[in-house]
Amino acid sequence: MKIYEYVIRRLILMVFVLLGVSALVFYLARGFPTGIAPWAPYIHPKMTAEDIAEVKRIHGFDQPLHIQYFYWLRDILHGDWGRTGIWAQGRPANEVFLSHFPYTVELSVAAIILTVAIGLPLGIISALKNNKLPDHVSRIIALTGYSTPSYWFGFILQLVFFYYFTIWGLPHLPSSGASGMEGMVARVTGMPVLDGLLAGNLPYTIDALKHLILPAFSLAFLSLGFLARIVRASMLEVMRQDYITLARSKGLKERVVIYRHALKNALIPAVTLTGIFFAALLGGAMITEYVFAWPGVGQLSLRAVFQGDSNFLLVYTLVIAAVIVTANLVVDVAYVFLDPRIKY
Amino acid sequence: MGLLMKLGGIVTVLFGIVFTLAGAYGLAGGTGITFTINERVVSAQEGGIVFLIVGIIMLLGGIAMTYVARAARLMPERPERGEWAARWADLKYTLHLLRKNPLVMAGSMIAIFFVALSLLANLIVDPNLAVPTGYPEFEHSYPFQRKFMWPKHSVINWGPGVRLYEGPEQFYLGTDNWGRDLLKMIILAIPVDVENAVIVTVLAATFGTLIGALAGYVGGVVEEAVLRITDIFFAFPALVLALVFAAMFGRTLPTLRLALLLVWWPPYVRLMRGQILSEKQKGYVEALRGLGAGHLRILFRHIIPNSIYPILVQATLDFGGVILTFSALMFLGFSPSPSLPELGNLAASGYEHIFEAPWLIIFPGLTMLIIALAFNLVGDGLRDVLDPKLRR
Amino acid sequence: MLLSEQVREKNHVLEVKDLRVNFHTYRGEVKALNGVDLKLYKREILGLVGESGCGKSVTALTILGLLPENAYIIGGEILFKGEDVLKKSKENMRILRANELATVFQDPLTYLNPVLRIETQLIEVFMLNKKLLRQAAIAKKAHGKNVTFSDLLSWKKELASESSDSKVSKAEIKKMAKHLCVDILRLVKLPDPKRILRQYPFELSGGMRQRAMIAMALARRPSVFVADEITTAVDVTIQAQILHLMRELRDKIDASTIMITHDLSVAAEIADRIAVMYGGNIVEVGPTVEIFRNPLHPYTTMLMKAIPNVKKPVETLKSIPGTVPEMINPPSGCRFHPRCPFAMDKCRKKRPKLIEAVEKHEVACYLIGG
Repeated sequence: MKIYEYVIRRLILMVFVLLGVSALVFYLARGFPTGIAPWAPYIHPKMTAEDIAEVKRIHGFDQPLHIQYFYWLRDILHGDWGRTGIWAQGRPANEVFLSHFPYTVELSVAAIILTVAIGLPLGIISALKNNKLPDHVSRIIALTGYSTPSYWFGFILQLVFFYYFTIWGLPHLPSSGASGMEGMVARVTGMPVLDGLLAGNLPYTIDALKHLILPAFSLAFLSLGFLARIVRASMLEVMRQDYITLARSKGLKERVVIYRHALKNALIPAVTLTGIFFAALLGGAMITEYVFAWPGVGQLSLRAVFQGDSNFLLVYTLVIAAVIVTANLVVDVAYVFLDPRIKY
Repeated sequence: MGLLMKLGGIVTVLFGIVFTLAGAYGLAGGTGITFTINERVVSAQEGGIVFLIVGIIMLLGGIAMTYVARAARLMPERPERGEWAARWADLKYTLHLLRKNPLVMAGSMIAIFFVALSLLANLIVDPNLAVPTGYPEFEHSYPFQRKFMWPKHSVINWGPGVRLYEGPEQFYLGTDNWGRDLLKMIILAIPVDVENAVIVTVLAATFGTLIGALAGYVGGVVEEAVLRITDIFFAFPALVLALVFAAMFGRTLPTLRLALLLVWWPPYVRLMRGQILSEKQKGYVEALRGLGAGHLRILFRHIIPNSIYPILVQATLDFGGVILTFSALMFLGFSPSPSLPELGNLAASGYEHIFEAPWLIIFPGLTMLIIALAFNLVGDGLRDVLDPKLRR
Repeated sequence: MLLSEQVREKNHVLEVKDLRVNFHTYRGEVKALNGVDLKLYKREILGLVGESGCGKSVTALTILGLLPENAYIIGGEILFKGEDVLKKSKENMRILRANELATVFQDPLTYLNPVLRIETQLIEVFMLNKKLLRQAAIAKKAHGKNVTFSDLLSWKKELASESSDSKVSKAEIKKMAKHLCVDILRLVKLPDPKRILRQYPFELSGGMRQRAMIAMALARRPSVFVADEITTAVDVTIQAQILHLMRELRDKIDASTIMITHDLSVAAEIADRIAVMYGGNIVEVGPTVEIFRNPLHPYTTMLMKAIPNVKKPVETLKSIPGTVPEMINPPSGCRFHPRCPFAMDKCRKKRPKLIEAVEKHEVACYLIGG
């Protein structure tokens, strides 16, 4: 079948997956017997019993679960995602989400760039010098990244680059937040670095970048190992192929053999992986955001989980799930363009 | 036979190292730990000497075993027949390849070391030390001056006139916010994490593999249903899902394990199903059906043993992942009790004072890193070795 | 020069002397080549014949310098135009491969890069020799008409260096290369070359892929052409076409060809001389007609007898008893002795050397002397 047929098929499937995801989260957040009560985020200790009953009624928590689900579905089709609890000043859930989402995107994009920039060469070197010293070294680097606890690495970075550098009198990097100069620049995209560039405000942009480096590197460190291993494995497999022998027999320089013949084949799985990575990073950056006090969606979701705020959680998980499924789709389609043999 | 002896020898050596170190620690620390064995109170000194002696014996014994194994290899082997002989030869080839890779060997040594440590931890350090002041089960109290100490002279200033702790105990890694010795807490925390990882990984792998095998073998509606369900699980990043489950299930260790289990089984389903599909394409399944073999027999005696390798690799790699996620959950605050000795938990308790008492974060995290790294090295090496295209 | 004259004049392009190659594997040392002696004369097609595993491909790979990492050359020389190829650096070998030694391999599906178009894979061979392209472009400008590849074939290898001062742009060089690609595809009898260039390997049929590979080899204007089992992976009709093509090309290009095959009939069809290989040694070598009419080595004799004769009906097929030796623990002395009905004691002890039994016909067997 043609590509667009395939895409449409996948999109329809995605709707079902999203429905499934939303149902699962709905049940867990609101209906699960041992979980936090769904009205918990909206009440505070000073409320009387009537106030609590009122809260329940407003939000519909007194209805049976499937009726609640139906109401929720109806509401989101009108764009109403419900309100968050007291911890986020009761603002609409989607507004809270959207105001913080750009920060997470900025962080993830930066992390992906770093991951590819470091992980790709690491994997290629590992494959070319298979089982010799560079391979072992890059293997250790890659696996260390893979095995590091995310909370720990962020801290170590902060400790060294912020605390100790300050004590030792070296120029240091800031340890938290996304920007030290809030409010100086008009908020267009919501991402400090981009906004600074768009406004032409150089000190602002540099400051935003300084805030970005540590958390982005912390995130990237964890995933570049994975990418390097995949690249290595696929490069090794490609280098064993017959067409590499033919390319060498033509008298081509080894560098040409690698770049023109081997890489194009080997990078196919790497590209697909990077796409999925990006999506996963978007959703999984919460610990790094927490450690670096980055005003993104991840650390908000942490608070939401502890508060039991079902509305916000639903927005969060649905968006992330949609991103992941879309990323899978994009990657599968990209496959067609990369490998001329694939036809759907 | 010789191979088994050699492996046994290596394991014994490693256990011996643990014992020796523990003994030395007990001797040198003057920790004041007492054990009660058979209603007789034993001090750490005496315990330390015993451990030391046992450790040295094991070291020597293990080394001897490996030499004997080497000599035994010179004897001619009996030619063996049958499928198990073929599998055994394959296994030996695998181990040979593994041995050639120094990183994998280092990783497996470290991994076995930690497993040994987790089995012996309760003997080395008294678990009662983990329960701090103020908790109703225990009346033991630590001197106030012991909080956040490392070394003797650095402590977070709790107020005017605080006197530094000058007692007999040596804190090699400092103390935490309750005044507990960090080294001992880390040693106690290792079995919690390792045991957890083992349980979750084994259960997730078994469960996921069986479901995946079923889905792949039966096909049809069952397969579709299973695939869709796992797709839903895949649409979540692991941490988010684990968080949500953990928040809903409550904060006891078994429920946390369940939460992790639910997050971790989908990859095995996919993996196993893929393997089953490619095995079905090979001729032997049809041949076996033609010979009249039943479905269960084909599945369990033939297909699963042939597809087991990627599962093994994934399980070893997941081991590290589970430990990391579990400690991350603890770090975020899901632990059953704040004083539970667990690597993530220990790190969490130091979060607020990170710049003044960095050791609280550094050392537990470092331990976590080493354990995960060891298992990942092994898993990664295994994956290299077992990849059929890269063999020979 | 006639072939017979060449043999007398010892005018060989390539000489392999006592080549020994081992492979280091988990199960042990594989002694693949056990002292191979071979001569390749100008403008001849030498058929290298033998069963699978006897070392034919290894010999070819060693000549080209493309052995894998676990291979060790433990002795011997390969003289190409007087120089020992084994002593050359990797870079020099690469230059040699780009200009003098060309190979075509067995299965064009796996040997062509699946994600690159034919044009990319062909043009890169031409772009290796920019000097030639420049000259061709200059010639085109000078004479006003396009240069064909056949013309290029006739140009001598050592052309005068850039004496002309006419500038040729990069675009013109590229255009020249593209034109040559089309031309060379026509030369190997591929229809509609322009369309084929834009296609990927999997879109072509087996025979067309094989021709494309031959074109890639031809583009280097080699002195030595190694064809490793090029007819094995194609069916009989395509086989015939390719052999026909090789014969045509042989008259056009000034190269010597080593035709590696396990199929005696292919060798009979196309080779001027045949070298029979067994267990890592050359056991017999001589002109094709002579070998078929008068095989001297027991192995060759049994091979000939094993070919069923289409004309005469036969009850049972004759085969050679025993199996190909495993090369980790090869038989001592003459490696054929376990299967040889005429084996003598000295066959077990020392390997017989190649000696000229009849004129131009060499054999390595104690039955015939030595």
